[in-house]
Amino acid sequence: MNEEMSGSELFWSSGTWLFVLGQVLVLVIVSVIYVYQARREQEALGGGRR
Amino acid sequence: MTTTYVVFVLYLLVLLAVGWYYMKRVRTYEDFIIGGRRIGPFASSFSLIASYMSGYTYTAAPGLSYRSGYSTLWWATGDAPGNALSFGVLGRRLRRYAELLRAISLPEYLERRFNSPSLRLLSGLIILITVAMYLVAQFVATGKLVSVMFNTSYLTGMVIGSAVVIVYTLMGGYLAVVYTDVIQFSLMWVLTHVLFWTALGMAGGFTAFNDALGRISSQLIVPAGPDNAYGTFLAALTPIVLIIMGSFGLPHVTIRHLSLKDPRNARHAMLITAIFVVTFSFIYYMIGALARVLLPQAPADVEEAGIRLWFSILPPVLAGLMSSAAVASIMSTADSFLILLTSTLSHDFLNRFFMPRATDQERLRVGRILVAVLAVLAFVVAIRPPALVFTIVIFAFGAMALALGVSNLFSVYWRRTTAAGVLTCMILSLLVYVWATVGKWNVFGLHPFMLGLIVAVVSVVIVSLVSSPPAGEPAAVFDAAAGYGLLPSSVRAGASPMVGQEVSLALRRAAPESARREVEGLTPAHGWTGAADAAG
Repeated sequence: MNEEMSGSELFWSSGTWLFVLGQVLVLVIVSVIYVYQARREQEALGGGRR
Repeated sequence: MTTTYVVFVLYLLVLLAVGWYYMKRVRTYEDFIIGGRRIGPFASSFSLIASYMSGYTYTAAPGLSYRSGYSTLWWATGDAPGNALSFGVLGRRLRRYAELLRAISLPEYLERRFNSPSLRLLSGLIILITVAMYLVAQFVATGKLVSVMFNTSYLTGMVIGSAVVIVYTLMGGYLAVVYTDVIQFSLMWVLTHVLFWTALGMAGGFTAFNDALGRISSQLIVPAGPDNAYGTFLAALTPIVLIIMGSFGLPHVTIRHLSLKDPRNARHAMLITAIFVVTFSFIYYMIGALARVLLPQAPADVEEAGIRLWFSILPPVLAGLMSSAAVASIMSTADSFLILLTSTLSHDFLNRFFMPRATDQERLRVGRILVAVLAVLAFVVAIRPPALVFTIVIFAFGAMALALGVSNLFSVYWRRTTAAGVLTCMILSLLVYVWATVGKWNVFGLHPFMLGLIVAVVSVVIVSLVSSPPAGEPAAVFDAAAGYGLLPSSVRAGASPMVGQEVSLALRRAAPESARREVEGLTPAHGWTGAADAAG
């Protein structure tokens, strides 16, 4: 690792920022599951209440 | 310091008031043990997060990032997906299953799902042993935290913190536990943000903070961390998997699934949990790294880094509230353990095997007595805690994640899972985990937890496949639990008569005598009369 880099440069160049992206992805995945389950519930309720 | 004391005492009084308020609303045994299964998604979500975030949140976690900087976030990364998906992926099905089988505890669910009293005994024992250790550890942590924050003796600190938990749990049972959790997590979330953003501002902002941290050591910035501790794929993956699996197995997490008002609330709870954990877990971890930059002197114990930070940068009122939030993190976990121990001992052992004909009020009385007895026992042990108490607790987290997490997931997602498969999975994974930890095995460089996880998955699959497949009724219950519709209404309305009929048959055959009486409509105690109707 380049010791002459500043901490903030190192934060971006070493991929540490990917931790934050990972959390954003968690929100996206959870939202997708939320919408999927809501649709399945709607279908189940609309199609013979099962 | 006087202001800090006043704020803290006011906070404790609020908790006691909540306990008092819910004492009048606890009318049945089921109210006391599981809140009458009427907890909404918001309260369930906050309660799950609060009970999941223990004393670790403001001591060990900041201590880790004080030492290791950003690489600590490998541990924080699993918090949000674990907590949130536990609702959406496991909780929704588990809640439907629990309603179908009329189970109000995890061991009871496992017994009825697989028609195996042995599973109830084994899972109950695992919960009793691990949760008892956890409870003692929380009392110890309360004593340590209060004594450091308010400069009292360890015993005084423990008496103050533990007594309040015991009293409000005794009064309001699970309802008090949940709604104090809501207050406790709200306090934790708000105050942790106040501390984090204040500290970041004092560090000169995000860029200046990174520069300052980098000047101490560039290893505090990089994901691999000091000594390249997380430099391999496996080393980085292990904490994430461990934390996620913990959310699927920890009994104080799964009880939040069982107590949901409606299975459909699970997805709402999932979304709420994701939002609040994503905006919380990185922040509480990074308090330690901020302390490393801001504190002029290193604390004697790095686990005090967070505490030193808020006392040095926040005004007294906010420092008092922050201290209350820190104690809240422990109390909210301790109360869950207390009610869970009571539930396991009373519901899964006493009521099931020794007093199956006890009335609801007798069970309620026994439940309250057990809370008092277990709390006093844990308190006495915590006065002189075993030397290895925290090591055992860290180990217990992995044990529950393996033995219960894998079993829970397979039980709701794989129809072919059998009692023999789950029993083997629990026993083998625990044995391998214990032996690999104690014997310091090095199998392909795998962490003992990962080794145990592989054994758990392989054993449940192989043994289930070679043992007799579940008969027709459990399969019907499985399908009903996996569905998305309004289960009780569909069964009651006869929209799917086969399912309704088979569910009732399964219940008649699988459930013990007390549950059969309920199914047959003699003592409808668990809120849903659908199966009773179907059975008729």
